[in-house]
Amino acid sequence: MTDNPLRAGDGNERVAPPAVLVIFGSTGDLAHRKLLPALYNLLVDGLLPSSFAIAAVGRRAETDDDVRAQARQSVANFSRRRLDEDRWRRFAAMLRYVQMQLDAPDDYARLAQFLAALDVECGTRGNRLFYLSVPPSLFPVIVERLGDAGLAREHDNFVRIIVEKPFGHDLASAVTLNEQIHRVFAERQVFRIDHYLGKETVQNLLVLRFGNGILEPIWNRRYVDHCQITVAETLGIGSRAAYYEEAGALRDMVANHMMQLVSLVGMEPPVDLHADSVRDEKVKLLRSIEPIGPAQFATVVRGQYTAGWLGGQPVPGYREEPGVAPTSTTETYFAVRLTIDNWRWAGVPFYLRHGKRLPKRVTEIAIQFKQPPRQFFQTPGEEPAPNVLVLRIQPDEGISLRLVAKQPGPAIRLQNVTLDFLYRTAFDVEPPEAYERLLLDCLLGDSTLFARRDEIETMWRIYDAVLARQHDDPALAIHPYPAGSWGPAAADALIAADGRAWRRP
Amino acid sequence: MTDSYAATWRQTFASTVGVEDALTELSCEAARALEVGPAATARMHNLVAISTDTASHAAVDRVLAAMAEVHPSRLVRVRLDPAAPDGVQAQASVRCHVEGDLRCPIVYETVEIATGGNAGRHLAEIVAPVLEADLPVVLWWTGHPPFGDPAFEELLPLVDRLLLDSAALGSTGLRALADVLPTSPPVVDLAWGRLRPWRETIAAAFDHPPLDSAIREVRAVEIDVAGASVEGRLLAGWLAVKLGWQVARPLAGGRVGRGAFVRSGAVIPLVLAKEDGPAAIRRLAIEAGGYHLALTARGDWADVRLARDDLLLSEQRLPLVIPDDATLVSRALMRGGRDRDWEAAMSVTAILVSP
Repeated sequence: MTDNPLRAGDGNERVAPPAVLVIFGSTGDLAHRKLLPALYNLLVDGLLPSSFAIAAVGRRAETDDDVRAQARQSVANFSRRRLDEDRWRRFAAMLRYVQMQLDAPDDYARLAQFLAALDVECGTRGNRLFYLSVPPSLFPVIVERLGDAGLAREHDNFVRIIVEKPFGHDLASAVTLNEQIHRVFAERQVFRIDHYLGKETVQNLLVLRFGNGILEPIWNRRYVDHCQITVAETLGIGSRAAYYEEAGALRDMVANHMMQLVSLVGMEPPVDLHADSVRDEKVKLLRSIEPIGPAQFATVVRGQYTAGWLGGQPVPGYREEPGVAPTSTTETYFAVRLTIDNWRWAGVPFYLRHGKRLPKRVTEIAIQFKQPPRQFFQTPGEEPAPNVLVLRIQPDEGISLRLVAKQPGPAIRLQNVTLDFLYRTAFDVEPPEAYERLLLDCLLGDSTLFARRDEIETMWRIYDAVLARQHDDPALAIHPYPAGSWGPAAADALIAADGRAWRRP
Repeated sequence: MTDSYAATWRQTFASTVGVEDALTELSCEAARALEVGPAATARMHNLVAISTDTASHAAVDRVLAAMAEVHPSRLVRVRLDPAAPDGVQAQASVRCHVEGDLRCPIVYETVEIATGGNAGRHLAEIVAPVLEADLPVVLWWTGHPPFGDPAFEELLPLVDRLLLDSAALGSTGLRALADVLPTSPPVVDLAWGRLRPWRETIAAAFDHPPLDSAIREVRAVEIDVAGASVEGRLLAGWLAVKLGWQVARPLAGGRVGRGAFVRSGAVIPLVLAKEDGPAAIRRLAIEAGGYHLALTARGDWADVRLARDDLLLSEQRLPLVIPDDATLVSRALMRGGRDRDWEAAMSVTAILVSP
């Protein structure tokens, strides 16, 4: 593609190259809610080439038309763009169904033949992108069979594999999974997807930090008091009890998504914006975080919601949810104080909290700055609030800065005011869905927004001792909290012990 | 606040001085009247849209209306009528739009100015007081920009980006535009935006075999245009820049006719033919490496046929949706910096239409 002179410049270089996207698990929720609508939107935006095909792999006996009918429903229900008949016809023509058993070697030989035929028919040039949208237990067998069938080999073409989280369930399993994948695919072929990294605001973190001259000088221990990262959900576990009972809040959210946010907030400036330059700095930051061993268990709070009221409605407790054991010790809330041992952040705690059935759905990063060395304007009983820079990731993506201003009037009375920047109002455009950006990046071979092996393993290393002992160490016991509250009192005590308090997002 | 609704507040002035204060006051008034919290003003640019005759007044108004009630700019809408009585009439208005799921109302600011006579020759002094500080200024001059006219030239130092439509320019206008490019603010050309689907479809055709290896072996280009379309010239200019061709013979007829490029001594004939119908590019045919590629526009689609020695090798239907002006203006607002591809293509086009 890059040797086509008509493609140079004009933004055309962001159009995906010819390829076949093979979706394992094409009948699953992820494919229907996210992947197919994302691909449709890429087509609408002119970012898919005409030589593109989607091979939907499933175990059921279905036809191309069956899959197209299901995909049409997905696009109609979940695409951010309305379904347009002309574009739909073109999208539908790209869609093929492949019936196969995921552990049957012969079926992979047939898949290879099918893809070779698609290359001829659609001009996809042998370029393949395998998307593992299947339960993690199936990752090893699919990877092994792809390797045995010669489907991972590259010549003049590219072959890439997208792995959905969870990337293991602890350090040992992540290492094992990575080794299984690496027996067949080189690291540069592996794209571990964390959809958080596809969100505009998360990407904007790099721009905010390294594109603005005023922030970098104060982005350190000299000016920052602490950082709070909150991922609050109002929902319970819905129909995901079987998964959630095994995973819990730490594995589901904190150890991956939230650690990505920590690394982007805390990393040093990369030497350039190449994928490995950025990821090198993220890994450096993660390696600076002290793993939480038994001596640090007091910096962790595990909680579980009990029955309560949320938005005026009664909601059941976690243990009353269908499919949850009545004696479950799975955490639905996790808070932690992380210590980063490097020159930039020494002595600046990073507080993370994530929970289900909290009062609001919100994801935000709050950088709280230190107070001025002398307070001239202190009114008795009214401590001026410190400056806080809040990066809101959802909902209402944006940035706000809290300052103190003088109230109009004859006396010096202080008032907190907020400078607000909202993506939706400022740019007045609808940002692409995370999966649109990530699928396009993967097709283009840009791995900046994907997690590297060492990143994943370093994240797990931080929490490995907690995961190993969380169900039997009294220091990691579950603290109940009523649904609709901001979490257990122990979490408040955790931050209060440092003379601080959680923000109310 | 669960429903979406909007309301507008207005105030009229005989000068543009003081209008900016009025916008602030009107925003506060809107917030008070709606009993909502502090409003967020949608301001990423100052968009100064100037039209100079009745037809273009209406065309600009249609585009701005089609850009929806929302666009992230302070809009300064100038109706310039040199024949009108001397003076300025300005109206400041804020439109407050509240969406149910958004935390705060959004305010859109518009300043409408009608001017003529001697006052109309001082556009820079009329516009400057109503520009929001620190925001880029995009000047959209509809029709033929009066290059060299002091009223226009005095505006340019205020401007970060100039938005125009080269489709409105004749051969002389194109050459004048090419001449001012080195010193003008970055230019966004709506005609270039209308060509984008063509450029993408052509580029895609050369992505894969057999044409990928034939791209350096183009032997001839034919472009059929309909009506008053002049975009075929710019498309030819783009091909020339991308494929390293120089103009060997300008178009005999200016808009349409026969011309030629040259590359490494080889002459590449260009035919720009005219058909009847509404202004548009209708067909492009390229001979390359023994292959014949033809793209024919059919509504929002292009039929793409590849043949060799009269033998049809492939036939495809690809989308070819030409964006409307509202979409193009919206996109132009989000662009930054110079578009070197367009500038190069425009420079070649100016040579192509030279006498």
